[in-house]
Amino acid sequence: MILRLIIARNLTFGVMIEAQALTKAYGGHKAVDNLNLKIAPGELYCLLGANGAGKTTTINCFLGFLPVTSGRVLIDGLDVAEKPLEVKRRLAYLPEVVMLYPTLSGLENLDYFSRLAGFRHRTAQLLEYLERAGLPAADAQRRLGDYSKGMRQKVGIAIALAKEAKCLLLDEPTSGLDPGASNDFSQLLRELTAQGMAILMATHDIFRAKDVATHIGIMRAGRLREQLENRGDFEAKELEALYLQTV
Amino acid sequence: MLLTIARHTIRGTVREGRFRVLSIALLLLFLCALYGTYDYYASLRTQHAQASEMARGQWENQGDKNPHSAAHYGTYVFKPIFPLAYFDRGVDSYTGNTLFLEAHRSNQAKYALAQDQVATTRLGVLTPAFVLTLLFPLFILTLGFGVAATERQNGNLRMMLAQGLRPATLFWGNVLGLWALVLLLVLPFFILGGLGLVFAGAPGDYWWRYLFICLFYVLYFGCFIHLALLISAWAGRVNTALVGVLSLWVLVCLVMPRFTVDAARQLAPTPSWQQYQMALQKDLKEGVDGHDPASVYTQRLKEQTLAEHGVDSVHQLPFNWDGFIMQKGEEHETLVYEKQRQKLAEIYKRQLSIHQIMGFTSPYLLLKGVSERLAATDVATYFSFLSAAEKYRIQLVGELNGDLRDNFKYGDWDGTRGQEFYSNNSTFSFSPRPLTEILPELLSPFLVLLGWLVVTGLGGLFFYQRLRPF
Repeated sequence: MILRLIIARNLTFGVMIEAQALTKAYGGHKAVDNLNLKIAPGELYCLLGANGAGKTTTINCFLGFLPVTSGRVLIDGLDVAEKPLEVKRRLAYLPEVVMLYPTLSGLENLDYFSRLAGFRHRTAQLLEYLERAGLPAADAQRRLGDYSKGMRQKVGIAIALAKEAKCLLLDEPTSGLDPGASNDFSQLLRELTAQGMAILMATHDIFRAKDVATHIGIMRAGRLREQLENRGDFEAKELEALYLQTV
Repeated sequence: MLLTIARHTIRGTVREGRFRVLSIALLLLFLCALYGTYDYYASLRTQHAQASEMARGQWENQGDKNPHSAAHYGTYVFKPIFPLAYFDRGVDSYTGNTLFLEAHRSNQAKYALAQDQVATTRLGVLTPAFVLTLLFPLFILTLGFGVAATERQNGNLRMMLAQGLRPATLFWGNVLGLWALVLLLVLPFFILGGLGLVFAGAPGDYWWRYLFICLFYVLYFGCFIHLALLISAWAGRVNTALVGVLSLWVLVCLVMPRFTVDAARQLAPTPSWQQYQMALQKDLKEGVDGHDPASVYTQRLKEQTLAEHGVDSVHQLPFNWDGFIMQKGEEHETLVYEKQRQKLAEIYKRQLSIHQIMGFTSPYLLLKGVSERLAATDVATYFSFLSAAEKYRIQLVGELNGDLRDNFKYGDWDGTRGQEFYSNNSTFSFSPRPLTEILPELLSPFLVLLGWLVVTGLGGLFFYQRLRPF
């Protein structure tokens, strides 16, 4: 009974996304410098920072696209460098610009990427993911070439949802979305965190971060300068002031 | 997973406009080539059959003549048009197909097809083989150059790798997809190409030959599939990949063949016509001449023959000295011509082996050689025809001189033979070597093509695994 409780606590409160003294250097330049962060299930960590602060590099290290110079990056306790495929099975990723196939429909794109992740969802289920991401079934059959950026982004979200991953990495996901779509997206993130997903989001959008994040980190020149827990005890204006002061 | 990627590769390619336009254009071009060459060769085959019949008719109806006069009168033989010539002309256009056979002389074949045509024909004729060896690879390269490069450049690769896809799986999926697409596409070409054999009523041997040609083409196309993917992954960018595949096509299909021809000419030069004739005349003078009784060699043979038979004069010989000496002269001339022909054949053989060695650097060269050999339009078949025609000339002249020697009196140049005699003379026929003889020779090009396929496949895999998502 006690063991079950320990396991349950670990599952609920264990760390899903973790960077241990992560450093990524290009020659003498450190794009990420000694970064430490931990994200538990149900947490949404927003990385704020100006261009070149090291946000995207951090995400690329978590994805295994970039080898780390020193330190470790772990997903669900697995080292990305040692178990790249197992790690990728546990995480979903949404880039700033979702690049899909313009000659395929939204549904076909979702089906293809789901299959690449090893899932064979039925059409009804795929449509459900698209709808959950905010794309109506009527648009799902149209070719992606006719989609707006926001619609493409929604297909990207559906791909992430369909993977049923424990972690989600988001790189400027709301960039270019209209306010309505951004708002829907925020709502979706809240739902996902409520379901126990661990999310790391790199963004410039201070107000969105304040709105959805459970934790916020501010990066500058590769270093994490500020970290704060979002308990709703500060205003967006205060966060903006801190951000501007830090960067 | 492999099937998913393969299906996706096919779907993505088929939905692109350039695929539809290029495949339709290529099929139309192939149909034009097929119709044009088949029609041309069908009429040529009819002309050859008529000309052969006419030549034989002229021989049989040449009137009453002394047999040796008939040998000088001579006859024509024609290189047959084999059923697969419509598919691959090989060297047929550039080698003579008509040979005049006469006593004492081994003539060269005349009337190459290209002689009848405009100068631009020498640049190459549109045949089904031309479309498949030169243009189809370009089509494959055009389909494949963007597969990996576009994925990487557009950022799809990033999404794919984030889904947990291994680069090796992506490569094999792309390979499978392009192979399936190319096989599906080339099938109508092969079926249409085989129609020529149906119309020509070709025997089973030619169907097997065609089947092997198709098999070699599949391997050949496979090399270009792998090369396209290799370059696509190596370049990483669409523009670079396009320049890469075009450069490769120019190198493999245009530059290397011409370089090989020049290299072969340099390393194994053929004598000029004048040099060949001079060498021939020099050797001919060093032997018996049936028409020159005063020559040293004829005198020596006369003394030897008289001594052998224990007589003092050619009148006392049990056979006609004229017929005997004509045949002896013919035998000497035959040896001289054969010697010179062998020298020339050796040079061509060396040139061909240079071509085969260069085949390691260009699958185009390799395939061209195989296709011509199976279609019986290669240099070796041409030399076999010359050799068969020469054997026939010796046989025919031998029959005539033999008749003169055995059935006519010495000095009886007025004696004649008529239609009945000439109708009974041997006829000429020539068939290419059977497939069973050719097949063992195809093992080496088969293995080299297989080597190309494996090496380019491994190269593609290597560059896919080095693909970076950004």
